[in-house]
Amino acid sequence: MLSRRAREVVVVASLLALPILFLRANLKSPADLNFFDRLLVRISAPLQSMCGAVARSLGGAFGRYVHLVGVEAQRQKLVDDNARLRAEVEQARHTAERTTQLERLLALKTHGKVSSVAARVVGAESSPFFRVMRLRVDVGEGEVKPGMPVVGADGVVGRIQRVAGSFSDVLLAVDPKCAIDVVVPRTGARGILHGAASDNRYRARIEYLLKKDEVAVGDDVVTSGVGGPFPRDLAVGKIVAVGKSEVGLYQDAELEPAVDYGRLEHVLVLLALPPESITAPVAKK
Amino acid sequence: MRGLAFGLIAYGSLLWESAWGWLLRDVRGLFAAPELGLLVVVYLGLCGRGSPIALTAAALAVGYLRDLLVGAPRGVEALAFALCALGARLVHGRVFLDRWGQLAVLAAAFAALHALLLMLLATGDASLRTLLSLVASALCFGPFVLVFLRRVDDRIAPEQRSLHLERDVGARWR
Repeated sequence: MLSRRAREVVVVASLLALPILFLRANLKSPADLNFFDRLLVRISAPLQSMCGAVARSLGGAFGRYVHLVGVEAQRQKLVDDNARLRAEVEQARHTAERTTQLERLLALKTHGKVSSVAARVVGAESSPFFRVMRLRVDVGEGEVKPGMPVVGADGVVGRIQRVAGSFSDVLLAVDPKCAIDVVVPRTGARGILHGAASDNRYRARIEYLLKKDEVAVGDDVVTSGVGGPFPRDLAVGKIVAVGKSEVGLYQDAELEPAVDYGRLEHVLVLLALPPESITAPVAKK
Repeated sequence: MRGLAFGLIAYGSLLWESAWGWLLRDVRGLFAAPELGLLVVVYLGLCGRGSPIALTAAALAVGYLRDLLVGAPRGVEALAFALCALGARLVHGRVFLDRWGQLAVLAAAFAALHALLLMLLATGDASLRTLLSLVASALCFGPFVLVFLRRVDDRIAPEQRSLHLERDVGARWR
């Protein structure tokens, strides 16, 4: 008979094997969620959304407080008026920003030949290791599927990773696991976009750019429309650094995404792409 | 009762973790969100109550929940949390934890261990900057969270605490 200690070791080792089995199953079919997972996500997503709303308002209040302290020091006599006016201006600016974002999304939705559905961001990505964002999409169950591209008013956001009811996880374009075929319109240089691994900043790398193709800091980068679900000419970002090595055929470039993921609130999920969809809905100049 | 209370605390911590992205959006590049769920399982390991089996099961459950909430491949966080909890259990009784600085160093060490495990299991590579920001975040918030959990624990099961301290004079928390 095993001693109590040995039994504990055996059971703990067996328990540790469980997540390895989950991980193995996940690698085979990352989009599949079982009933229990879907239930947990469905329960948690609204709570996450609520916590996010609280955090957003706290963050906003903190930002306003910091601004007001500065104003108070400079203009003590006018602090009340300043506070009220600044709050109004801030509110108006936010409204204008949101309106502009929604208008551009609407333009993208109506102008493009791409069937799409609007979604609201309910969960910001919270781990620097997994660049995943949660969306609420109010359409019939089964319409949104893993792999579908997600775009914002400023360009490519990512692609649907998994779906649970009306909530979907988006693997952001800045995640190392995301690969998108991109092109530099100025020179026609093509490469593959990968997220820069595990950095707190949102950065990405373009790999497999041929050395003979000219790329420079400040160049715009758009989707090529080749080898993936993304239509052509969606804005992806700007090149901020180019790395050329002495050996090999390729050069790398570092890219700053066009989308500000930290402030993203509304996006479009592209539901289906017609065969001739390779038109230019977004490309922000 | 204790299990339920810590289950709810862990779940609430994970939900709140996912909201930190919004709160810190202006300083995202400088500061990582504290890993509250990890601190909960590390606390459970450090306080050394219950069997290692129950501890492993609890850490796996919290880790799996985090997998679902942060969108990680299922199993990665579960395994990392379980290993961190078992590591904390090994540390239990072997280090003095009566000062905030000691708690901070311990929290930072487990944040680093967790980050290294994730790099190993999921991402393959990561920047030193990310690791340092997670460690810094644990240094700042870790002691507060661990002391808070200790206070909750004292309220829920004070009799277990006294038994525990008689056996293990190294684990003083205040």
